[in-house]
Amino acid sequence: MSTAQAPELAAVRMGRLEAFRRRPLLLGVAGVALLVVAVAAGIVLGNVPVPLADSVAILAHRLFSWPVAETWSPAMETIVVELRLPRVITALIVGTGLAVAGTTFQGLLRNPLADPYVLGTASGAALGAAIGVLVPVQIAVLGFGLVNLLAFGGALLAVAVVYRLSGGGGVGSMTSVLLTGYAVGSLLAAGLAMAMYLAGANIRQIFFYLLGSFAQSSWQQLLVGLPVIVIGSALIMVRARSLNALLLGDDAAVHLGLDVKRERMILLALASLITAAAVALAGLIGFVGLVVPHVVRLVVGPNARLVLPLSALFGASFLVFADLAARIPGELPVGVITAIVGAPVFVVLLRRFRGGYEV
Amino acid sequence: MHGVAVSVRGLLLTYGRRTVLHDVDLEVAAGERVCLIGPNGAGKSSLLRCLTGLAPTALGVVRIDGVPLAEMSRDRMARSVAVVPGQVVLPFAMRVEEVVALGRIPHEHRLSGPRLADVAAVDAAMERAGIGDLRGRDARELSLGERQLVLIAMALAQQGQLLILDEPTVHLDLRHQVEVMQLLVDLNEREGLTIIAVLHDLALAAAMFPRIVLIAGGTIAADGPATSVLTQDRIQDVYGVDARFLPALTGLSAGSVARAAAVPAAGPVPSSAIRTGSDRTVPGPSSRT
Repeated sequence: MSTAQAPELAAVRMGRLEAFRRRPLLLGVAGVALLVVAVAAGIVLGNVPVPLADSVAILAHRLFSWPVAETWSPAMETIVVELRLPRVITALIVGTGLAVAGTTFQGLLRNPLADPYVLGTASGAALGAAIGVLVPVQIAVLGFGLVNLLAFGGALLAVAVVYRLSGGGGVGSMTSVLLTGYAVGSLLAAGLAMAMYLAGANIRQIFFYLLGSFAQSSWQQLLVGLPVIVIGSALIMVRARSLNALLLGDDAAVHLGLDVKRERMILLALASLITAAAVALAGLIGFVGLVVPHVVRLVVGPNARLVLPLSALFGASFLVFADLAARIPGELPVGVITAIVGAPVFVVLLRRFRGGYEV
Repeated sequence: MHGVAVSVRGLLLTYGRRTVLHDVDLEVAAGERVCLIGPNGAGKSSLLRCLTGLAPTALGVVRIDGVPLAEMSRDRMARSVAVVPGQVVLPFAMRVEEVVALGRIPHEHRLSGPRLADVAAVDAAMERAGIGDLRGRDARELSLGERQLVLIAMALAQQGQLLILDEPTVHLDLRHQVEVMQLLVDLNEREGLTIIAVLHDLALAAAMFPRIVLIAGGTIAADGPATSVLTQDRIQDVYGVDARFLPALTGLSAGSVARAAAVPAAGPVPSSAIRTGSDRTVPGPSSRT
């Protein structure tokens, strides 16, 4: 308090501020390195391997019009530019979106078990997609077929219904939002079961959607999907302070100066929009939005200023690797891979870091 | 240090058709230490909720530092009034210093986050509350007494001139009750913080607070020093219990409670007298307000 000891104390504090920031910084550097490796692997590896040098040359040639000698076949060029690159980028932004939305829902609902699909998004999207499969109409808007469009609409509609039914999310009513989400989800699941029963031979198509896939990624889809997820995530990160204030509950958040109802509505809307966009791009992919934020929290603590960007980073790399693991054996559903990898990793980390906050 | 910290005029609070508070007039000067007491459901916590902007009042005006709540920005409110949270459940593992740092949210920049001054304020608050050695502990693994000190430290980091607490000693053992109370008295006397606290323990209230406000039936029934507020008749009236212990209670000085607390068995005051005012003497099924 007194100014006499200030310089020395300031030095000590400065040191601790640095120590405080070192772990997140290290994790951030590791995350960026992993991301670079993920993108490179995602482009180079596959049924038709394209050597790294060729991949880089192709990208330099096509994206930046560099004058490079064309040593590759036109087929390779198509594979890299039209198939793999959009696929990798889609996996990146879907991973980012799911991780950011998961962090947001866990913070908003103050529930560690929340994920991006918790408020009926998943069942709404699934039912929408199933209806899209059943209806014999072929349309395409900006690269999205009827299935994707109905999944997007179904996800948003489900959240909107949950929000309205639970009373608009007044102060202290997050439990009722959660329970309403469960109730609406169950109802929609019944609808989905009915749709699957009626689908007959098309049931495989519905299943494919339910388990997630990046096989249909295209530049055209990214044109809409990418801005929605990137801008939505950025807007959530700007509101990290609100998520922090909510850590101690609604009343405490009000006492810390937060307009709880307004902030919660904004965050809920942004996270739902991101989730719906992710679902439209790649179907339902579980575990990313649940596990990645927790893994990050185990290392850096629950401060949303750190958890949001770091989760985005690791969610992105995780899905690129998961997609790689799914397509090399021959187009497995990527949701299966994320569950197979995510669940054990989660359990191991929880066990190892249980006392991680003890110093 | 002069001036009015809190002023309440003609307050009416209703939940649906139920009137919770009515005709409440209260003035607390800057630097005062005031304890709100009263039976469960009398409206103590509701009054606190009105003071901290949680409950929109139907009628009447609440002013903090002379400014009506309705005209005060949320940030300014959070920088002048620090509320120690009641029951807190942390959704994630959190270190003690991270919890205390939450108190800096009203001061921190929306985008750039905490600065050196914020780190310093968190340090100072932890030192002040005497929990510097708990810094790196998981806040979910603390004892109730330690946890209460952490939450007070968080409120101190907020650096408001008015500190509000709702039953800060509930569930604490005698030593921690006294520890928390002495910290509050010290903050009030040395740093000049205005303190408004709800307590259930009449003995503790009488011993530690120069001014007691008794709330009953949704309005202020008595206001003044313990000796004039806690009379036998009034206790009988408001709490509906035989108040034979009262002579012992109102005769207590702060010193004798502290002594009794330090050595409960050997003190001149039977420890039963200290407990008598707590929840368990209130007859009938009691729901905490």
